[in-house]
Amino acid sequence: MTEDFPSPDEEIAALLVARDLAEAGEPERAIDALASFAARQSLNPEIYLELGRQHRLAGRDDLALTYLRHSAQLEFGGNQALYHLLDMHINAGDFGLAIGVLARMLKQGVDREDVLGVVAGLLEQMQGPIDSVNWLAPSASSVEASTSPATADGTPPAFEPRPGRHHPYRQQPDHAFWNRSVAQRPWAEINLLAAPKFSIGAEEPIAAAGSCFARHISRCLRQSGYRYLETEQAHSILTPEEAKACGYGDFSARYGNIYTPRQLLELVEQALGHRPIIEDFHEADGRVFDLLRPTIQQGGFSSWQEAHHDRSYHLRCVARMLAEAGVFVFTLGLTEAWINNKRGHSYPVCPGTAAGSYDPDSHHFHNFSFAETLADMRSVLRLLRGINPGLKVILTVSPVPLMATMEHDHVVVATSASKAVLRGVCADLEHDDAQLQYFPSFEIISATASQGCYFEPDQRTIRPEGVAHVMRTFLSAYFREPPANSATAEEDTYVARANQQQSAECDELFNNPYHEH
Amino acid sequence: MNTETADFLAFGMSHLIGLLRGIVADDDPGWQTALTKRSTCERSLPLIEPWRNDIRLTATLITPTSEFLPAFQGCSLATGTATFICHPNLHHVLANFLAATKGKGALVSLLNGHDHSVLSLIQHPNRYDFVLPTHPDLPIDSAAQVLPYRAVARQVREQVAPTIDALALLRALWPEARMCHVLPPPPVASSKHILSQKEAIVSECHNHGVSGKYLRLKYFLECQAQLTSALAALNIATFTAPPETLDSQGFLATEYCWDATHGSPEYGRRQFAAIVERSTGGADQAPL
Repeated sequence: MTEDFPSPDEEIAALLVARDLAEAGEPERAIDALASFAARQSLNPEIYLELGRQHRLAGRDDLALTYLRHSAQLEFGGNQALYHLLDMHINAGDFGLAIGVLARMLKQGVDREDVLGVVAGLLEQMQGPIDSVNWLAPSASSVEASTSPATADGTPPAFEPRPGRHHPYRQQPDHAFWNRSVAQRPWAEINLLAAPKFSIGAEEPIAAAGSCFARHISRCLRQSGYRYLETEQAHSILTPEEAKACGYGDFSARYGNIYTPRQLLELVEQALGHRPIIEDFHEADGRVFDLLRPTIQQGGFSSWQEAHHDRSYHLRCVARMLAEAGVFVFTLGLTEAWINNKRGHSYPVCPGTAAGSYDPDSHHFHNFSFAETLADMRSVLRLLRGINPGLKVILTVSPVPLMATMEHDHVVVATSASKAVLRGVCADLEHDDAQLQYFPSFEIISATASQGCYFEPDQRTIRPEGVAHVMRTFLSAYFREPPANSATAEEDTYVARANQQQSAECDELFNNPYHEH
Repeated sequence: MNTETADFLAFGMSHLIGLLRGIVADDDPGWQTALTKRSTCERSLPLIEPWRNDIRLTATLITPTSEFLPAFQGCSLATGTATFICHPNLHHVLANFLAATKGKGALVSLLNGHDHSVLSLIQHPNRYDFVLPTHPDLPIDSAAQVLPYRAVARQVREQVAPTIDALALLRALWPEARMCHVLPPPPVASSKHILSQKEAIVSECHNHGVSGKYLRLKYFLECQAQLTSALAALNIATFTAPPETLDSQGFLATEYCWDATHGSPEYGRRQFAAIVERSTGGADQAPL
């Protein structure tokens, strides 16, 4: 019955009373103040920590150990109970148990150097052979045993869990706990994707699309040695410089940056013949620009006919890519977009920035809502699965903040709102789709715990090390087999830096009128 | 036509043979064999009527066995270097001709001429096509990859550069010389005709196929445009295919074909007639 369980307010009040009593030199009364909470199966580790400390002060080490172990068992209890246990075991000469506690502390993120220092001290103190050799290589069960009230010294716990009232977090893996997986760990070593839904075969074709951050992913996949799918490749007649100027090699096909799910939806619809090809071309100085891919061909196309035929060919390549891909990686970048008033299609960037001319009678701004974004992504997935039922989809959210916003908010606030929508949509989509997973590029780069370590001083450009972290996580999570042409771990940063030098082209830069294009 | 005898020195490769086949009289049946001999740098040739008495034609054939190979060598003048040189033997022939004719003789270049065929005759393993801005309505292969015109133009520019550089050198050597360049005939439309020929390039077509006719035509037009433009800047007239030798779409009519890439004797005769007419300022054109 719920009224049997102590409320947090009751527990805090009792703890304050108990600590006052303890400070006043009355440990027994302090124990009395808390004992009832233990009997009522409190889940507050502070209760058991305090009980352990007071019983230890009162000389009842058995009970102290029992309470301290229980406190340590409550996963979010921090390390204080472990420190007390360590101290008690060392003082009692139980070095094996002490090492077990140290192993647990290591697992919970206590600084490695500190732990090793204590171990070294213990080894110096130890006389003769170590009794419990197993502690030197503790298994999960042995570590558990060191902190389990039921097995440490044979003393039965003072409180048996009630049937049906197990601590639900106990079943959670390490990565579910901040202390164990984040606290005091180097950010670069943290793997934020501990549970991939599926694996990718070494020969499985992977296609990629998305915002400017997707270019990093795309290039790294291309260089990874795994099978990166490119259905629109530079023709051998083109020089490398011409190929680059024509946007080859950036993605699986020459769509350029795709910032919004609406843009992706319109591309897929055109490629699969669900809507007429959108030809929104603009001529300037004798050159023709495709406003749906304004930077795909540096300097534009030579004629309207070239732009027309190139777009048709491009869409055929996109259709082939969607049909042949085993995995489709899409990076969602923005919710803010510009729309054609008459025909309703979206643009990657505002006309008049990268190419074309802005006309308020022809173009309007729109910030896609959560519902719109979710609906667009669901439509995309429905179309993709319609032609490629086995397609695995990996969604990421670009960690690159907005270059500029058309909302009234500060750009930081607008970025937060935009990313929140995109991130929320991904979460919604992956819940009911076994073949779709969100990949945490956004978090690897921009989680608060990263302390901005992957951003350049402008707080927007991603450092190569960040890209390397993302790709290291991606490759280790999804691939079980080595690639045909493996890039070594040492090459990660090198590859990322090479990519950086090429500079992931961000069309969104054109939204900043003060940027030197 | 002037009553005065006109002097021409024609020099070039295989397309020169095509021209000569149409205009050399039967009384020199050994001219072709003689021209291809290593020791023969030049040969005066008797012409058919109406040019037998009015035109003196000397021919210099540059073949793999010529004494003056490479005829032209060095870095492109376009790069600003001046190391592009003419083989001394060829230089000697040209200089002697101009001296002997006191500058009135015309140099007729049929250098190279294989450019558009080299670039486009054999079907590329990765089919491609492009839109030629000057002829945007020429059909495009809908199944092929579309290449940017600028890349194709760059490819053509690199291909025709040796011809332009060679003629630029001659213009630099003889700034006042009368000089013209005869462009090769356009492609023939029929791939069946091409595949039935014995030329070396055709054997590759048997392996890879023949490119689409419009792609071949576009390459020809682009080569022609670039050469014409560059040579005009050098005050070197260019001669394209006589209009009557073309079909309605601009391909070389089959009856004017010699093989897969060269013109027939009749094509050569008509081309020479145009050169002679132009050299005397006929047909409302500026003389060479």
